[in-house]
Amino acid sequence: MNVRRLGLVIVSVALTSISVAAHHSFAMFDMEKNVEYKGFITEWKWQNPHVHFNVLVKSGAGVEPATVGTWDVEGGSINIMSRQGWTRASYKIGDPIRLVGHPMKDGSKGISLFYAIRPDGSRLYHDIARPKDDVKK
Amino acid sequence: MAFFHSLQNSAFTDWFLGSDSIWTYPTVLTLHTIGMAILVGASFVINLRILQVAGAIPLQRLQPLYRFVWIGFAVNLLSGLVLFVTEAADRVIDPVFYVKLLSIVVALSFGIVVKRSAIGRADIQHVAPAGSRVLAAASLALWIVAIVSGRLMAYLKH
Amino acid sequence: MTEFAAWVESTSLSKTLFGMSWLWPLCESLHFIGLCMLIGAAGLLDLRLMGMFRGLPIRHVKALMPWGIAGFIINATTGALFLTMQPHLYLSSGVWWSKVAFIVIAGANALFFETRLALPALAMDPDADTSPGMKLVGAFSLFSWFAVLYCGRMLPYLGTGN
Repeated sequence: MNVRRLGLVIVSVALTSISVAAHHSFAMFDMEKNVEYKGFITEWKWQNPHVHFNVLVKSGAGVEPATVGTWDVEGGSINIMSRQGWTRASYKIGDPIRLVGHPMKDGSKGISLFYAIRPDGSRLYHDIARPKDDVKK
Repeated sequence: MAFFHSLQNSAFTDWFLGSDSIWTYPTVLTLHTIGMAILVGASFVINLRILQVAGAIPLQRLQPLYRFVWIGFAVNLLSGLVLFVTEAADRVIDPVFYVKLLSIVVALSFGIVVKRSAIGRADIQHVAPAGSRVLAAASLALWIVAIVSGRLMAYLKH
Repeated sequence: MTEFAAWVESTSLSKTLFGMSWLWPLCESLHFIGLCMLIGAAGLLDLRLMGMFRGLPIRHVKALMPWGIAGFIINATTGALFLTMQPHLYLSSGVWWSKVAFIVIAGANALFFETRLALPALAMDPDADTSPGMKLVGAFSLFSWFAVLYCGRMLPYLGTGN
């Protein structure tokens, strides 16, 4: 009876976790890749548990073809992002945006936000993580 | 369906999810976790004892634990309703949400049957009937399904 | 801490673990299951020490402890995995260190119970009220474990680093 229950547990946990991998988990992003995207905000959701915004990258001169399209950018919680300087008014629909993030491993148009780049070149990080090269700054 | 969209797009939802206060979304979410710990914690103790793998508490003495099952359930029903409103349209078509609700309802029902068939009986002290033990094992598995499907919901938003 | 976290995240162990997309969600589910086991078992003992369930011999309640310990081990293991995969979320966070502190406090409290109060608790008349010392230890333990839960759940909101 005990072994059967344990088996049921393992199977149900494993099955649901494996199916999670097929969906939108932050572990589905390629965290090794930092890609820069330049586009316009087409949707802006300043809400918990995750801030989400859509960025439309149009093709053109100087635009990386791999970055073209409409991307769903996922950030952290309002609370965490606020601490890094983000506000509800940081961006709105139609605003241009430059950001660096980690794209989805499977090629679908999702990005895990690393930081946005302000017009003056300074960075708006989404949480405490910093690039390895400027960790010592 | 329009009703659920009106909930999800309501002023309440905008305020609740858009607030940077820890007393709104973060607190309700944490209450939901606390309720789970109480509800499933109490259920685990009851069911493990019924299965004879957790000591020799006389079966009748498990009865007061049901108070905690219902307290935990009440906290999660209320916090769950608030959370549901903010995602009503997305969740009402989410099969994982229904798996979670169904496993909770069935696990609670089994708990009530176990209470009647094994715990509320003066003639049984130490060994629960075989039928109760089957329900207890099934309840344990169902609570785990409820927890995992609840976690899975966080990954399947929009 | 930031540099140490960056170093851990650059190791092949960290990258391999975090690269397995299903591992993080699996660890989360197990972490929730573990906490229910721990709070269920420890919670019953704590409530008994606080005077509830009068008439129930404490030795019967203590027989649940292996399940509580199993829950703790599941959570310590999944916790170590989270720490290995994404240390930057935790090592610079005051909330996470508070969680660790409450775990240590709960453990110290349990040790105090085992060494000083366990024998009297096991020997006492089950129908008698528990002593003030037992009530305090039980209440403190219950509070500590819920404080651990609170800190853990609030991490993505109270701060994964300031």
